[in-house]
Amino acid sequence: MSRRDRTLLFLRALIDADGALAEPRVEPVRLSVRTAGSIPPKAVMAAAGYIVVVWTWRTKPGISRTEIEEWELAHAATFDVAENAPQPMQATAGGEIRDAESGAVPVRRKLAYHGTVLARRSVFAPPGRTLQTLWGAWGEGRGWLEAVLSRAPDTITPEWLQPIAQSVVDLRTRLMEGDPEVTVIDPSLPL
Amino acid sequence: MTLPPDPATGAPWMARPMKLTLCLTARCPLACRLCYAECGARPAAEELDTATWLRLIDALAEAGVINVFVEGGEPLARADAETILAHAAGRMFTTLRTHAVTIDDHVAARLAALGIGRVYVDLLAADAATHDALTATPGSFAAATAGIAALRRHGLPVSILAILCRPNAAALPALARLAAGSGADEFGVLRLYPLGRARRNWSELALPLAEQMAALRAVAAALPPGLRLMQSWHPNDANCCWQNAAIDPYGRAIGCPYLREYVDYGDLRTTPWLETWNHPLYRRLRAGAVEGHCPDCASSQLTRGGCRATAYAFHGRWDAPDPFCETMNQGTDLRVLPDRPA
Amino acid sequence: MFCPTDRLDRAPGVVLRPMPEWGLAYAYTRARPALTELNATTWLIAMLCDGATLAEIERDFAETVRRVAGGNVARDTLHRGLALLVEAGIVTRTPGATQETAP
Repeated sequence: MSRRDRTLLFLRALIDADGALAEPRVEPVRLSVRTAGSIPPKAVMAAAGYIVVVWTWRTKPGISRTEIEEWELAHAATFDVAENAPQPMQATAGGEIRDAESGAVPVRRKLAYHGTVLARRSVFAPPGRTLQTLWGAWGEGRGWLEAVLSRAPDTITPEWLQPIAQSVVDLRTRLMEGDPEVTVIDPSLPL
Repeated sequence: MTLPPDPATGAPWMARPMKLTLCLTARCPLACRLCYAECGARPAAEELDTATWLRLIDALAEAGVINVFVEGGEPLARADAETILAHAAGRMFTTLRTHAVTIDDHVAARLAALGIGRVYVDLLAADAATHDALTATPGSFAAATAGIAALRRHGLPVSILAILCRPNAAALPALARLAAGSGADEFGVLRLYPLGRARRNWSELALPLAEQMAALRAVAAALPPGLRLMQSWHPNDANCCWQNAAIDPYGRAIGCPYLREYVDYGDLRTTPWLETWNHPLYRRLRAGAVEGHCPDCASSQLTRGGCRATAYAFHGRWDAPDPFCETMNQGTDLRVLPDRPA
Repeated sequence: MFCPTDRLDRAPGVVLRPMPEWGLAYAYTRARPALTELNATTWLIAMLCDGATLAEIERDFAETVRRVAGGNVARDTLHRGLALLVEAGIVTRTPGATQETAP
């Protein structure tokens, strides 16, 4: 596949993930002035075989970054369990998932938490900002992830998913205002 | 494909650098007391030659660098400076930092023709006596202001840079007026970094944080219309290691010009550029793991802990907070730089 | 205004630097030294401007964004984006041959 075709596929995935065609924009930039930004590498993770679920959400008034970070740390720890140990990636059908670029089989947890970042549209936004929380999963982890993010924790059967679900409920009830926007990125896209 | 080193930290992520500071030379006709470099300390012959710089620039362009900031020393002190600048400008947006003392209409015309996007000129004071005392070079103020005028006559965008220190703190508003009057559209106030001669002259140059903030407030309150103020204190003092890259005059990858005395990520004459980007210390500094960081910067810019060179110089630890931030200062007296080996 | 037979290409010397991790791209225009940030929409349009005709670009753009925009919205968005890219010196337009009218 040519570099052009790969880029076009990437852009299609990116625009699909945003769910809308943004108004065209060109802006002069001054990179010499310090800039910051954080755009989650959604399509990169998808290319590595993950299904990526992005929750875009707003904080409740008065929630500090420190509280979010405390939740992040606790939540990340819930993924660090023996049942979710890193292992060679394998598709649902059983075949190996190879890194799109190197061809190697990566070793990953089936279910992973990728972090919470300011959403692209609100970098530099004031408090009350929009955040994106990213999870990824592959193989049977996909089903588990969808279950964790969409059902009440007491309906989750695998033992090690319980604390993860509890952490998600904690996020929704304690930190999040309203409901999240949910974007699912399909890893089958041939990036 | 490369995944972020530690996504759970929320640190900003960049797979490959897109901008770079190229410290072209340590040669300089001035002898500024607050210089970040030790100009002239090493033989000029040890600096990279023309062919190596051109080859490096090609490699950088191939690796995705699209913006280069060329500084020194005084870049124009190299006889091949324009050759190197022209080569860079053909491949990436190229800006130049200079003292402007050797710029006349001929030089300005050539810089404009070869495609320099912006020129940053260091002016250390609004009057000749103070400026020339700080540069230790009589006549440098008159030469610099003449150079700025020549740059503007040839249509080059100009920013004026001033390093805030004890001798010029009260004169910042006057310097801003001078910048606006000379046709600059940006006035950058930079902090004193613990490097080079500035490090040796620290106690006579450094101000307490409160006086620095007062000077900044004074210049912000009196900023002439049409002049942008750029400054390197909160909230712009965020840890920018995650996006910075730099090369010193001898071909060493140093991450940031302010880290030139503190790190060495590899010799680019023998090591591929992207290999130095993955140096363990470089990756560590980019991850932004800093204790007691400013929560405001973390939430607004997703960076933590401020300048690593400053933090290391004051605290001797890479995970220490930057004391030039009012939130993270924690009682550090900025007039006293600990005596530790670089 | 663009015509279907116009050919659109990136201007000589333009460097396009994708930043997939940020969902945008940067363009360096050497002829007028400037660095410009393109969002995903203008990045896509700039990618499609590789000497193709406007009609071909309209077809490929509509196909790429079809899940989020209908044909009319896609065409209007494309034309606004092309105008911005031409104005910024990132894309150049070569007028296509005009259709001869029979006597």
